[in-house]
Amino acid sequence: MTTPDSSQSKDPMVTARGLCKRYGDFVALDHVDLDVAPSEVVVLVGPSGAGKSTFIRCLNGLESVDAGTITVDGQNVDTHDESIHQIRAQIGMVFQQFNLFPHLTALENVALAPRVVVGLTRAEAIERAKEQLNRVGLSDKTNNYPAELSGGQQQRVAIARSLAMQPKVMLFDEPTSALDAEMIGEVLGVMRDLAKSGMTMILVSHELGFVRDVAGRVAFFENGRILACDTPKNLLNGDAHARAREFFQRVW
Amino acid sequence: MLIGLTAVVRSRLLNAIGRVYVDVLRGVPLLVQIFFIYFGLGKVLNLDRFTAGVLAVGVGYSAYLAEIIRAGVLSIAVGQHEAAASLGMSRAQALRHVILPQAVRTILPPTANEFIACLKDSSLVSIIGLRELTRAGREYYSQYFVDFQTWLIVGLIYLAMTLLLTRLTRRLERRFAVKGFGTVGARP
Repeated sequence: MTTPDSSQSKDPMVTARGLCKRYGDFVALDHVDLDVAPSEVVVLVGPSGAGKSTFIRCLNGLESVDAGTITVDGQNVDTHDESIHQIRAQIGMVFQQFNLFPHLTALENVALAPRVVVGLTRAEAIERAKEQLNRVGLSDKTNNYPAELSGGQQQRVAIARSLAMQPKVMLFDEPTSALDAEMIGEVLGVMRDLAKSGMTMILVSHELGFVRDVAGRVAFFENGRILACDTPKNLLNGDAHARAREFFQRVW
Repeated sequence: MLIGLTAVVRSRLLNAIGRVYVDVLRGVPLLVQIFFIYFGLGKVLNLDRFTAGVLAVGVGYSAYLAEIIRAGVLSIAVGQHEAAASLGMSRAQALRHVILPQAVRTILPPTANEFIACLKDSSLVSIIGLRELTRAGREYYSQYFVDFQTWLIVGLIYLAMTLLLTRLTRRLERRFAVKGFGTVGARP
């Protein structure tokens, strides 16, 4: 039994219906449903191996699902269809390990996809890249290569790189887990601003403060299912979600 | 280059063609390939000695180069492919803009190796009567009977050509070097 979502008044930006995914005998996702409204921020939490990362990677088709359907802004996410590239271009993804292109400068990292995927001219792409680097507070690092940047700076470039595609949704897969403590704040700050600007966001994160302040809802994953999905306040304080509360008390 | 890429595209047919091409050409001595192309294909297609010789050495070495290119592409972390895909790039766009520019750095030194070996193995085509450097040396020797000097000169000419290639690749390596990144020792 999966948890039904609170009904949304607007058409959801992202819908996942009955997602199943196995790796051999291991069940990574077991009939997962989730609706995310436009401008909503949903945080996925839960023990490791519970399916959070798999779920988020299925949403933009980096992993294929065995069963179930995903739509983003009404478009079907089908990894076996040519349309997948065009849909991925509308979904931003930020990785735990940043995955910046090491042979390109910060500016080139951000400008590449707008140029080759969207088809902007070099000048337009660079213009857009500068705007986004400015937005994440790195206008002074445009000509630095990733190896010359700190982890926090690299992750902010990665966020700018995704934003330059003007995505409808942003996915973050443990964006601060690979960072030293003093760099986590700068990345969360950027994400906070992004949420405030009305971006639809789905993220895997264990930063309690951030989750409390920014998350509209928290989805608690365990054994490939969403056991509970509610506002952070209800999840932490209410009695309805005993298992989730127990988890939070342990990790936080 | 193209053959190397057949191994990394998502097409079973192309994968298989590339595999067979590499396995066959790598598994047969170059000398035999030269005979085969000159006496076999050459008779059918009416190839002259020079075309047949160049073709045989070129095709033979392409198999080795293909494997080097494949290794270069495989050496790039999966996260790079994923990051490119998540930005909406097709497989071809990702290869061209993200994967190959990085793989070049890994590919360059072994590629230089192959070109140098290729240059030296070009002496094999003398067997089908092509007058290249080694054969020229032998003719000179049989005419004037100065063995040591002849082969010293021939050796030095080969060395000069390969050193030129070596210098060229060093320059390329430096050109592709990126600050703080990669497998390239030489820095600008």
